[in-house]
Amino acid sequence: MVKTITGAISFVVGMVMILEYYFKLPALSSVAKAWQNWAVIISAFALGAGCINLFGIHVRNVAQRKTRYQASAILLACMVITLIIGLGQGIDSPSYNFIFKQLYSPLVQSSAGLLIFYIVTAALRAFRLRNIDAWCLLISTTLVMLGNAPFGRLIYGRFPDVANWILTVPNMAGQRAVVIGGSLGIIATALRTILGLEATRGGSAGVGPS
Amino acid sequence: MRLLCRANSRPTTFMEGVTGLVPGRIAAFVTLVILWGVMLINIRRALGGNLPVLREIPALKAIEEAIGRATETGRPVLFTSGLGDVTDANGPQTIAGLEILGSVAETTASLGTNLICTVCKPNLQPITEAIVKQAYSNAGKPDAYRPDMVRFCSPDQMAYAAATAGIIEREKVAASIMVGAYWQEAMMLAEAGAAVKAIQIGGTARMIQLPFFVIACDYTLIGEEIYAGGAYLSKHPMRLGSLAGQDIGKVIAVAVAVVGALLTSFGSKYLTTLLGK
Repeated sequence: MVKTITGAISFVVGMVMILEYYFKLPALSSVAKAWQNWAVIISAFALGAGCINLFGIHVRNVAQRKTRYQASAILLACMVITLIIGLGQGIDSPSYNFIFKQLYSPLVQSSAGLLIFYIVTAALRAFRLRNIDAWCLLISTTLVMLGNAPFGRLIYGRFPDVANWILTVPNMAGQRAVVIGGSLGIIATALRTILGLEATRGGSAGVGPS
Repeated sequence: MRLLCRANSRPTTFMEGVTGLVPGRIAAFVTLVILWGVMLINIRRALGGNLPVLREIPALKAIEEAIGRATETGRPVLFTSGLGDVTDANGPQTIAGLEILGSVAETTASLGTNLICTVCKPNLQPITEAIVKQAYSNAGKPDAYRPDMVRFCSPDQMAYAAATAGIIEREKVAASIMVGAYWQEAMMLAEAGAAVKAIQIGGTARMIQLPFFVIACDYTLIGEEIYAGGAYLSKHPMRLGSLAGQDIGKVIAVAVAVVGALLTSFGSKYLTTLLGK
């Protein structure tokens, strides 16, 4: 029964959203807009449910003194303090802004800054020349880097042209092929989801809520 | 063909006037209908017993090997579906990842391996829980499911990446399966897995992140291979049929590209104009 109802809802909502995109029907547009707003509201409730899950897992970590439970305790403290300040003083208050601008933003930017080190360590592992793929990777990467770096032009004036050719011909061809394949995959997944054949939504393939 | 021409309005063509299709989306709609028709025909054929033969995809084959290694070493398997949500443009990639999760969860349930799923978007939390619970139930081990198998980390990208990387490092996962829509956190997660010597299988259809998965992971699912994952692992006829339909769609796309390239080379813009309607 649940599968039939969820299937019917998926079909109706999916078809309305698709038809709204392709056809000029004001009635469909207003319905589609309303449903999009509902999705935002449901997401907000889902965020609350997610927070409860997060809270439960880390409370259990602290209670059972699992590995690095101190980090869980810090997380819980930050959650509670931010929640209290947000609810008590509002999200425009100086305290809330302090938490966001002086604590949260620097942490996010620091994490993003670590990426370059991860890229370097990954590249060092990838450029071990064990097979033809690694050789192709190394040669093409070197040529593109030389083409884009200022000193590359000093070594050989045509390096930028070579780099440009690599990016616009073989690289672009490969990307477009992957995009075409991926787009077909999206169309197939959408079809299965709308028709209720998608297992992750509880379709007849077996896996999913019953 | 112009049906009517009104003051203060753009002339309406026959197709737009009769069908009400939005200008500029007619060719896309016709393409969608054709592709869906092809997929439905192949799904029907597969459900009738005419199953397509799949080529081997090393990354998908490696999933079973990775879970086996995790079972032998007693370390957990980590699955994460990335930053995408089911409600945005990256929904199909996330759904593809969740299809693979269903098969992964059934395998870990049957082998008694510990499974950890991290989730970025709150919408995915109940969906992922339901998939894992159902998979354990299908494997005949509903009691083996634990609520802390599915962990919501944060809707924020870096917080999610840091949380997942922390779990990988603390739990010393033996296998890390990352399939879905990824942004720059892909590199962080892949390097965290490399640091604990986990077998890593990464997959995404986002072109900009694929190179990072290719260099950092042991196996990579490239683009459409993530959509084949569910069919490959479950061998369900409906998914296999849809995969066959995708392949026919690829043949159609290549044929149109070749014809279009030839026509354009000879100075004809007919196909370009037609596909732009």
